[in-house]
Amino acid sequence: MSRRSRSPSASPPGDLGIPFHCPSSPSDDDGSSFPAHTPPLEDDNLLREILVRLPPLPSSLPRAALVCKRWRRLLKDPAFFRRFRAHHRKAPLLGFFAGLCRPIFFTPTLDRPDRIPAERLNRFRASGEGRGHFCCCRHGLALLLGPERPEALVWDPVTGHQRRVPFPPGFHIKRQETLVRHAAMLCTAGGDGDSPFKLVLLRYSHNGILACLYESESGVWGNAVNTATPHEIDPLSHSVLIGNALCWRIDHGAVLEFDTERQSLRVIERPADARRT
Amino acid sequence: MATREAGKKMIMLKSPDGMEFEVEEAVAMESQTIRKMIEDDCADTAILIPNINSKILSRVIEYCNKHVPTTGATGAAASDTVAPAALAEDLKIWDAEFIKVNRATRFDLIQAASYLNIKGLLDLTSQTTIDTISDNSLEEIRSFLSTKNDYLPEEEQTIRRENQWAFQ
Repeated sequence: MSRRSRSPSASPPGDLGIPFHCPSSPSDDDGSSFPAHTPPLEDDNLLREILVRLPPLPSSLPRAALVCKRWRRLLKDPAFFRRFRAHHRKAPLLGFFAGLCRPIFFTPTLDRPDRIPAERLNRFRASGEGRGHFCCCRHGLALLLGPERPEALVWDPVTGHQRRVPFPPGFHIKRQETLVRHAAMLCTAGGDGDSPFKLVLLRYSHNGILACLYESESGVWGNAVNTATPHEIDPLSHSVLIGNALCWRIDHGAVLEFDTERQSLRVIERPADARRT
Repeated sequence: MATREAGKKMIMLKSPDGMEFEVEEAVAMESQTIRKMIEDDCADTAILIPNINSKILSRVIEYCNKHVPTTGATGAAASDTVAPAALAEDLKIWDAEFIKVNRATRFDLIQAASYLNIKGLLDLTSQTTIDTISDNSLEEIRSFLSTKNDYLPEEEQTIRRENQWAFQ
């Protein structure tokens, strides 16, 4: 094991480039200067401070938990887990879900020891609930639209935590031409299984496209907003999040934009001089 | 509170082993703990920093002195005249040298950074500790951190089985 065992700097405070007054000389040993206090690794708060900086890879926490029972206790604490995710912000890409031919299945992309077995995330599929229409994956959560009931299912694939949101009035229609086929979701904080999220449903109306926003914090749907357009959403288009706006590709090169702050819906037409490259 | 001739406000920090350090207020206020004491008018004469001996306190001041945003004669922040990327690179190189200390000193710096609430120093010391151990085996980590394995062999096996993929 490599240890960084260089002696500490013996520079006197005067070398700091700041004035100082030194009434007595301190002893200069290499031992800890906190003999009467808890060493940092025995202080739970400081140990958390160190452990939260473990690499944000799937094997980090399971491996560290084997150091000793105390480490495991700290690492298993949901509050630590939330802090770990918040500290690293950007999670690694574990793999991808594919499911055009239902049900969906998971394909891991990381190398060992961070390669999560597909079966671990496919438990959901095994339970039979993964047969819904898979809409998107964002901020560590997946969104499916229920095949049997008019509801959205927000699922944390890592913890298995699920939240069901029944569709709002006006989105229950089962006619094929007005069926909800497009939806998207984003986390508004944290990005863990209990974090608040926003959910947007889209369906066709008599003259365009209708959108409705659900906010998990309030637990209510907003008013549906309509935009008149002859365009149709590309059936293979998945949403893209740009700032606060969720965007979908629609035909003729246009873009459908839903602003999740203002709850407004509009079509951005392709500029007349735009060319495909 | 002491005031120096240059017009810069000075403040006295005292370690429990009797050393006194006169530092610019702006440098001392890199510590959020000290900043709060100054802002609450609790720092009229000198501030005793309990639990942090003079050797560690001098290193902490050295860090704060380097990281405090400096101002030139015109009053413009140094970052206005030096490219931010170059400044950041310079600090990164300086930090890498600063943290080349033995384990005991690094742990003392972690404690000091936590007590004094100096985020940059806490990040540096904690991250260096993690970087030192993260590529090592469990035995090496336990040895380096003087941590005893208190699992029974069967308990360890059970935990390994729970996440077998993470140990392959």
